[in-house]
Amino acid sequence: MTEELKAMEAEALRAVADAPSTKSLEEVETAYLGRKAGRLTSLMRGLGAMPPEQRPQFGQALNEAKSRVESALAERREALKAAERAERERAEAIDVTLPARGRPRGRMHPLSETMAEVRRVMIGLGFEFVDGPDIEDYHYNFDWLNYPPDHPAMDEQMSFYVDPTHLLRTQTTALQGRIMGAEGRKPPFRIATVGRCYRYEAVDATHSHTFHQVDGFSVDEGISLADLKGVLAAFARGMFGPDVKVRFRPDFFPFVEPGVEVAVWWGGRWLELGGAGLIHPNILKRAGLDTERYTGFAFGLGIDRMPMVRHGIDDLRLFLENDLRFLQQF
Amino acid sequence: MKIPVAWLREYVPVPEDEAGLQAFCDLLTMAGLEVEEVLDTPAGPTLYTKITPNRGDWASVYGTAREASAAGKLALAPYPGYPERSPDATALSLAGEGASVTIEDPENCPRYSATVIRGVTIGPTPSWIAERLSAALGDKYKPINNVVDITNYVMLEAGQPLHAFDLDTLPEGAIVVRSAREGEMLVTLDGVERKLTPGMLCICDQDKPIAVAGIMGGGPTEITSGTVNVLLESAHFDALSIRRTSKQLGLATEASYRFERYVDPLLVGAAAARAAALIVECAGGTVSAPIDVVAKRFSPRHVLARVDRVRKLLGADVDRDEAIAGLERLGVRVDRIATNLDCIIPSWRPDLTIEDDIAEEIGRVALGYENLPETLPPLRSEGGKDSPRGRFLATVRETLVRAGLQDIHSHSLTAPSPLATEEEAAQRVYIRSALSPELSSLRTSLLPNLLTVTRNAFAGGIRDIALFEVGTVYRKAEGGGYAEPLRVTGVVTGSAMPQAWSLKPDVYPADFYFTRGVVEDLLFALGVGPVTLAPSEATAGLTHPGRTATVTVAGETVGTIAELSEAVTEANDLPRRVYVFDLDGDRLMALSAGAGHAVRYTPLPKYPAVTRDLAPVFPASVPYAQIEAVAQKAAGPLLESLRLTDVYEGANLGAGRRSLTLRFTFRSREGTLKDADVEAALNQVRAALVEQTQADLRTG
Repeated sequence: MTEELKAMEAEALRAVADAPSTKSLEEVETAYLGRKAGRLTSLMRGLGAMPPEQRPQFGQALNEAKSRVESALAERREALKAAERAERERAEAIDVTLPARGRPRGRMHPLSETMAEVRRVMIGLGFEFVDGPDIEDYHYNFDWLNYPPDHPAMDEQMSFYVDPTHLLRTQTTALQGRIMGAEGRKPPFRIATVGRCYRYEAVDATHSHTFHQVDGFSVDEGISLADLKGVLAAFARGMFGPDVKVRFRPDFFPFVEPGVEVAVWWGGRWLELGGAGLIHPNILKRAGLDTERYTGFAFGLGIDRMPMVRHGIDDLRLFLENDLRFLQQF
Repeated sequence: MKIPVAWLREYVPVPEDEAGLQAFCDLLTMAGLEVEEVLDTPAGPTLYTKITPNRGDWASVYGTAREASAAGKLALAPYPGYPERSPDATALSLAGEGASVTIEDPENCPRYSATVIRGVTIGPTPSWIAERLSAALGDKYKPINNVVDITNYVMLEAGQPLHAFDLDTLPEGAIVVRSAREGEMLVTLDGVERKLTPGMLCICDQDKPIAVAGIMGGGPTEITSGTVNVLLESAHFDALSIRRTSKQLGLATEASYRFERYVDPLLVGAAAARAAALIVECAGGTVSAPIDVVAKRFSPRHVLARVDRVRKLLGADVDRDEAIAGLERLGVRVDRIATNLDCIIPSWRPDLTIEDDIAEEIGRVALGYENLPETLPPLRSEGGKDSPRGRFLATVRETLVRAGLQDIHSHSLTAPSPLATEEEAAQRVYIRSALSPELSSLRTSLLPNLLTVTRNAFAGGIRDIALFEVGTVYRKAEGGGYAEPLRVTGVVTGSAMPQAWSLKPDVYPADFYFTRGVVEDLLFALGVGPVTLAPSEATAGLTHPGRTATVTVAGETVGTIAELSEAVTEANDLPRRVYVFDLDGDRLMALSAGAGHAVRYTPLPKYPAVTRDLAPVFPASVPYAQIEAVAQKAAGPLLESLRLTDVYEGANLGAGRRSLTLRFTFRSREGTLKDADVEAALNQVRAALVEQTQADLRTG
């Protein structure tokens, strides 16, 4: 009887080892361990025919043999399952190089992208953003900014008038009078605005009647031209990278004294960004400020040139024409 | 201004080699007189300089040489007789040499000098003069004759406009400087008959104008080939007077350009002498002593500058002696008063009037802006922050871009759009004296520009188009003034899933409901809700009458979602189905600002939910919103959510009928729901739907 058990165990273990699939393994399991007709299970039924003194020993041997076969079965099942899963997954391979199926996101207009950058950097430098109207009062666009009536400086500011006293602002600097005058903001402050400006200009690849500016101005005790240079240098580094250098060149704007043109060394050339200077004392006086105590700086920089240089765009007109083949490049 | 280098070299050393010339140009540019380019002309290399409006003294060869000399510490050759000592005032009328000068308007003409040259031979312009004038004036230059071109030559060289009259055309050689009288006319040298009005300064003979002072001479008194005797005018005119007359007449000349920028009053004599000498050299004749009427004496301005204050303004510790040396190179005479500087401003610098101007001169010439330090002032105001509008723009752009829409920026200046409503047209803001239709008015809606972009893209073969713009529109405000409403407007057409290659293109079109999704997504991002839509005919004509809805948030109408009418898509070469949304940005911004952190947390459920579907058939005329409201109310407090999962319109339902599959989710916070509870709730729903929304439950 024991011999028979040993032989049957060996046969069962062989069958387990030889089973080629989980399905045939199930058959092996049924054949040897099935409750009704399992061959090992059936040996238990022969127990009754045994002499009583042999029964415990044989029973134990039989249980041990069954347990070994069960372990072998479990182990083999895991192995076969893994192999079969692997096989199935090989068959399920997809072409991962097919394109994405989601809805593609739109693109930010290069001007939006630049304006957002400008805001981010300026806010980091402590500027508070405010907004002014496009249709501006002549008073704020010119008078407040120290433009003498009938001065040649007006020749550079050919304007779109909507009535005798209102025009499309020619510069975002027009906001200064609204903040310092109408709103009566008292120093210290750092104010900035981003917006659209308009001047009668023949349109070509580098000129448009519509353009965008960022204006910043600050009034406090002890503000100097060197402070202006430092702030603009920090702005330029924030916008264009750590190696950017700022250059001041004397220039003239009625609302600043001294007045400078700001350029940054970027991409191997001087990029002229706009005008800047110390706020003209006439303006501070108009705002009711003591010019012995307070000084201020102001700058107005062109926004359109920034993405032009960054992206190598050679025609300013592309920005407002909105050819999708252009916009979808960004 | 265009200045031949060879001419400049007569007054200041300019290097011959290319690198040296470039360095010279950089010197001027960094001093503020930008050399835009170096042109190649028959007169040799020629600088093209950009003169700022405050520096009329740069509008001459000598003035440019003087700036280079100050900035680069270069030797400056003197201009003979200049600057002269300021002459004392004389009588307002002087005569001699067969001529006379009378100034009747000393305010606008403080000085007038007439030099008589007799016995000249008018001939062609000497080639060396013609060459330089041609280089300096370009196409505007046409050689006239030796005498006239010499006056132009000296104007460019010294900056003093001059005029030559044929003396024999002036009765008794009389010159009267006065304001024009009502009704006076003059044919100017350009052949145009001009109507003069009081206030325009004129050069007159005994009874009529013969030249518009400082702007252009008149035909009858001009130098002709037969001229023998010349009266050479060199005068100082008030800048504002010349500018106003020039504007009024619409006549701008090289002379008016200079006078309106202020010409050095102490140049009158030197320029006249230089021109007279050149005329004698080139055209012969004999020169008499000038008749020089000085109506008002020029006295130089004093500006006090405190060295400490200058240092503070610049933020640089400028050396006092270097500052003084720099000012002196610029022609400023400096008297040291204790630590302060009493600056006597040269006659050619009307722009230097206050201490800050002196600080600028010290900064640019004595210090040099390349030596200006970079400092960061301490931040003493509150920290930086964006404006509400800035934050709104950022959220709108980020959300809509993420939803797959292209951000655009379009022109505010446009031609009036045929799509505008009557109301929009009435409120449209027009540009005065517009030069072209495209620049004639301001947009009243963002939609026309978006549709133009759509049409162009469609014509270019693009089928799936989704765009938006967030920007200002403009209108006349009620009760005067202007309004600049902010709008958020978008256009979608084609497929909603253009990259879904497993779907047929028409399976998921960018339709009304897709557009609604985009809008709701945006409103959610803005923290604005709940959103309801209702059919509207407000934009009839522009949009499809059966596919237009107003969007309402918290009882406020915030915009429209619609399909464009077929008439509009046809007339504008647009795709057949185009969906638009147009939202009130100001209102959304206000609602968004009030939204804050309004969401309160609900504890998570402990008991399971039960989900049941009902699919009754309804008349198509009953709007879903009504069905939803009825069902929600009837379902009672156990209803957790109600969701539409299918809309079926089939022939088997009959015309004008549709089946809606409504998915109800019930849950109790007290315990696990019993079937009977759910069934009771559903029965209430069924009854309400039958009673209030004409539901037919037989098929559901």
